[in-house]
Order: sequence, then C-alpha cells, then structure tokens
Amino acid sequence: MISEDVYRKVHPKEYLKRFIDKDVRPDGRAVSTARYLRLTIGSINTAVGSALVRLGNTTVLAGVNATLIRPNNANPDKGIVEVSVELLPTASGESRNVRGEEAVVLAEFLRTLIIPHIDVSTLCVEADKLVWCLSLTVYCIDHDGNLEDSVVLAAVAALRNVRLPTVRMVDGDEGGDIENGIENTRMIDADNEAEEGNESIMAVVSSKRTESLELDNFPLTVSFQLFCEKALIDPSAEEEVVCVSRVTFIMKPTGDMRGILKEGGHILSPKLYNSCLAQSKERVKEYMKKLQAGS
Amino acid sequence: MGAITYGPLVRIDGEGAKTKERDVREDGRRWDELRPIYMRVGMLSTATGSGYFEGGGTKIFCAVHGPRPSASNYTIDGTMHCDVRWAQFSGREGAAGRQGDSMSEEERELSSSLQRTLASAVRLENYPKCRIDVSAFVLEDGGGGFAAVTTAASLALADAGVEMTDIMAGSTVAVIGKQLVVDPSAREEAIADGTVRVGFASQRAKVTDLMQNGEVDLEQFREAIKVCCTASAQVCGLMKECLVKKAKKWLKKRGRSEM
Amino acid sequence: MESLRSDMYVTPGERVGEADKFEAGYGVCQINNILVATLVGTLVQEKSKGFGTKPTLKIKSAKYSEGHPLLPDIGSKVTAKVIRVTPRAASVEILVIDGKPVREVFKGTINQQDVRQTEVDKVEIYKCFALGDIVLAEVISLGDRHSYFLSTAKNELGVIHAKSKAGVVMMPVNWQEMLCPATNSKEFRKVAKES
Repeated sequence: MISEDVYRKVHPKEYLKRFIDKDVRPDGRAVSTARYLRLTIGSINTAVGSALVRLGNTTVLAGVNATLIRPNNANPDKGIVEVSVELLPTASGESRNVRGEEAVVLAEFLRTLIIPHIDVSTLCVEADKLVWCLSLTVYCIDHDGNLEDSVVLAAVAALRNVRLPTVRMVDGDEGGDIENGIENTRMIDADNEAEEGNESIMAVVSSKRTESLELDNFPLTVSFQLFCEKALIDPSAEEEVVCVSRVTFIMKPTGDMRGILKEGGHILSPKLYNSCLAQSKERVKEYMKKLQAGS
Repeated sequence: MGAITYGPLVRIDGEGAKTKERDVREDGRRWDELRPIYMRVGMLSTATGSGYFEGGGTKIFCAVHGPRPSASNYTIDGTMHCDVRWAQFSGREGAAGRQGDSMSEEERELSSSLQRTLASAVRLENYPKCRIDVSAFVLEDGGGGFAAVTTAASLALADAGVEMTDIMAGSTVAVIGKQLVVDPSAREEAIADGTVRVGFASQRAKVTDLMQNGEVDLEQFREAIKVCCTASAQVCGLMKECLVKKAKKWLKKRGRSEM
Repeated sequence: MESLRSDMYVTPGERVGEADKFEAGYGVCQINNILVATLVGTLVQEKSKGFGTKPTLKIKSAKYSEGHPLLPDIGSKVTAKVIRVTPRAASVEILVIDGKPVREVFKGTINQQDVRQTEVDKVEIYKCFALGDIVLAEVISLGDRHSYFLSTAKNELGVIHAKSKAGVVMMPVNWQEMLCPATNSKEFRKVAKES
C-alpha cells in the first residue's frame, strides 16, 4: 500500500481527480473558494508606489520607479509607462532563462490590460522638455499558482499608490537661488550633453510626493482552472500543473465584466460560465475591499 | 529616440550632511546601534528553505533550492550557486537602469562573493553530484544591503536543513569623518568617506568576507573590522533565536501529526 | 566539557561536545577536536553500541526526519517514471526515495544489463518498459554526470503501474506480461512481483 504523499507525487492527476470528484481540493478548499488575500500597499519606501500581494503562498511584489526624461519626439506631451514582469529565481529556483517565457507572457498580459487605463498626458511636466517615465516592475517571489490574478492586482494597487513630487521648470540662473532658498527641494539638472547638444533643463522637484495617478476603471482579473467539468477558482500550483484549461474573467471595479480569456480545450458550458461570472463578481468585491482598506 | 534617464528621483527629502555635526544620528540611534531587526524563516512555499530579513529600510527575501541534481558536471562534492539581485525600485544605484532579466556586473560580483562566504561553512562534501541554489532578492535597500543578504542567506540555508558548520551574518560600518557608524542607513552610506563590510562566522569567530570602499585610514580600518564583527555577532544571536523559535514550532507540529 | 543537555535546541556551528568523548552522528560534524551541530534541532545522545566505543551525539532535525535531504544513495529503493526508452537503456525520473516523495526530481537510467537477473544479454528494453510506466527500482551507483544508475533485477522490482496502448491501467499476468482489461490484449513488461 502506498502512502498518500507518494500517490500525490506519482499520480498527480488521479490524486487531484479523487479530490475534485468529492468537491474538495487538496488544500482543503471548496471548488468555489479562493485563497485568503493579503495586500500590503506602499511598504517599499524607495519606490514611488508599491504593493505586495500574498494569495495563499503566492507572493508578488509590484513597484514603480519614476524618472524625469526628455519626451519621445513622436509624443512630446506624453509620459512613458514601462511594464515588466519577472519571475525571480526565489520562486522557481531555476536560472532565469528557463522560466523566461512565462514571465514574458505575463508581462504582455499585464501590459495590454493596464496601459490603456493610464492617462499618459498627465505625466507631462512640460511638453517637448520634460515628462515622467514610470517603470512598473512586478516581481514574482513565490509561485504557488494563479500568478495572473496576483500580478494584475499588485500592479493596480501599486499604480494607485503612486505619488509623484511636483515639478516646476526653472531657468538656469534661477536654479541656484532656489536651491539655497527653499528647503526640502532639490534641483534636477536635466542636462543632456551626450545627445545632440540640447539646452540644459533645470527643474525644482518637491520633497513631498503628492501627485497621484489617474487610474479610472482599472481592470481586475479572476482566474479559474477547468478540470472534470468543474471550475476551480484561484488555482494553486499543484492544480495548475495538472490542468490544461484556464479561464480568466477580466472585470471592472464595479463588478461588471469587461472581457474573458480562455486557453486550453476544455468546454466552458453556459451553466459553468454563469457560475464563474457570479463568483468573479464576488471576488472583485473582495479585491476592492482590500484595495480600499490599504490605500 | 531612446529615453534618457536623469537618475532616480526618490529619497530627496532633507539634507544628509547634517548628520556629521550631531551626537546622535538622524534616526535617533547611537553610533554603535543597529536598526531594529525583524527576521523570519520558512515563508516561501516553493523553496526548500527561506529567510526574510528586515532592518530599517532594508528588506530581503532569500530562498534555497536543493540539494538538486547538478545540471553540468559530476562532482564528488556538491556545488553551490548564488544569485543576488536588487529590485529595480530598491533605491540602489544601478538597479534602476537595468533592463530585463540580465544581471548587472555588480550583482554578478556580489553573487560570487556570497557564494564564497557561504561555501566556507556549508558541508558540500555531503551532497555529491548535487547543487544548492541560493537566490536573494533585495526589495528595498535602505543601506547595508549586501551585508543583510549574507544574513538572510544563512537563515535560508539553516531553514533548508543544509548542513553548515557555522552561521554567518554580515554587517556594514561607515566611516564619516572620525566617526565609525554601525549599520548605516542609505543616506549615511551616501555621505560616508568610506564603508567597510564584513561577513562573519560567529562560532569560529572568522571573517569570511571583507570589502572596503572609499577612503579609510589604517587605524580606522582595523577598528571598523572589529566593530563589524561585534555587530555581526549581535545579529547572529538574533538569528539563532529566530531559528530555535521556528524549530519549536516544527517540532510541535510534527508531534501532533505523529500522534 | 560534557555534552549539552539532550533536549536542548542547537543551531549550526554550536559546540555540542568533544571528539574524544563522543562519536559524531547525523547532523554533527567534527572540527579539530570539537563536535559542532550542523543543523537546527534538538541534541540526542545515543548510548555506545559496544565496549570501547563512544556514545554518539546526533541532531534530531526539527523540520525533517532523519536522512534528509533526500538524495539517492546506493541501495535506496526508488519509485520512478519512465520518460525515455532506447534500445540500450530506459531513462527515468526518480519521484520517491525510500517511501518519501522528493522535492527535486532526479534523473535515473536503467541500463540493459540491469533490467533482470537472467539472460542479461537478451534483454530488449522495449519489451520491459514503456513511456509513462511507474517503476520500482534500486540505486546501484551514482552513475554518470546526467543520472543515477538503477537496477530492476530483483523479483520485487520492475513495473508497478502501466497503462496499455488503449490508455487503461493494466493488470500483471506474470513477471513479463501485463493484461489490458479493456482490449484483453497483452503487453510485455518487466513486472514487479507483488510482495
């Protein structure tokens, strides 16, 4: 007779099936129960915005860095937002390249969801001269399944947490006076000698970070793993490895559905679809509660 | 046209230079006082062992994977690989500009430093044909980042049940004028004339890693190493407490499941 | 120095005794004349096994039972999954070592000459293992740089779980055949004798 642990390792699919047939999951959850969500917002002092998401064991950290740059020639009055996702070796233990693909897919997923909701024209300090470049990086520290939802939630929470200093452009001569006169400000000598001899740009940056980012109607996602004609909300890594089909509901903060993403060959019946949608609405309420409590 | 960055724009309040004149430091500490430390082990599920270190603004996750099959070579002794990286928004210079997955030169260098420090205590001869992967991630570097990485990595190795003949902790001392400043904050590091970083094996009382930057005269350098060792020994004491606490928890849990 | 109290918690590097009084057991290592702990756990003192031998000091690890980490060693009984079959050998992934599931999967190889005890040179690997089979085997050497060498030569070793071409779990018929209950066809395997 083999022990449960051994059966789990040798026959992972059959092991999971035995549980799901009885409407319970290996970690004790019901099929329709998501894991406990912990959201810590603004814990990284060196970032202009940050959020740490723990969904069960899955741990994801999103942070935003802000730099003042010369705007892109094509869009002189628009700021720039860069989005990237990295799967750290702390999560997989693999050297970077092995799981690189998964991170690239996640980054692309996040980019298409998030970028349209950021009004880049609000990131402009002075057209043609100085704009903000925000780089949002999401690090996956521990991977126990459902990175999609965690990454999106962390990114949204971090962007909502962004507070930028106020920036005022000054002339070159004026700059010196201000530096001495007003405390808690710093000169940014945005001089750029390397490229095409532009005139130097001087700006005063306040020490207090007050300007928040407009982020209306941001997206939130709720994922399900399809298995044995059931939909497992918020799948764990163990479940993700065995199941091949996945459905992600893209929701609005209000609980309305914005879109749906499905991969894999399992059929999503109308009945199952309706049940998933209802669960997603409930889950979004939970997300919103945590988002509002944290900020 | 490529974006030109003008440096990160965080950490801009106040003036660090004031520190020089005051008796106590701007965060109210004495010169020889460590920042409050918080440590935990075993919070990452995918890793064999893990450690979390937080001291002041410095926050680090470290994970140990393995012993696992070595991909490259048949070796009688085990091998150890370290991977240290700073979050892009960690506040450390150089981390912000990095693109994608590649490591910076500095991260590579520090990774191999960490490897040598840890390898001095890990009994690799017990893990033939295997490798042990140590990966550290600095969420925020509020000063003394790498020293804290050494501490977090030691915790993670102990938590993973990797056999070690000692526990290592790291600490940093900054030299500001004539004053030695223990466990400097990021701003103190920035205004320091020089810094000394030590990795210290507490039981054997051996220095396993030593790095000095900037201008420090010989007498101060000697003194700084001593101060570093004292500080590290202090940290080691806390690490032991943390590990024993966790061990008691595990034993309780096992006792229950065996009943 | 006597040994420390036996229910005491120790951490790596802590001195637990002197080498001329005690033998180093699991989790204890001798440095010069001193025995130090290498794991986190409680210290256990075992009585000497016979006249003239010293009592042993070992660590009861808090997190793991003795023998951790799980590495394949010569003589270990392993459960493995077949991932590749060639005319000379079957490649497997070791999933369980001595009844304990591994954290990290190790690669193993069952060479032609190690499949069974008799008529070693007539072994056809294709008639012994198929992709996806679960095999019980024994580690016979640390192998080459890619994998550990395994043997299924003993009677109780061999395939313990296999699916037929129709995808149904098969029943053992004798030590070299299995039966598919759905199609009633037989397939060749090196079957483990059930104990």
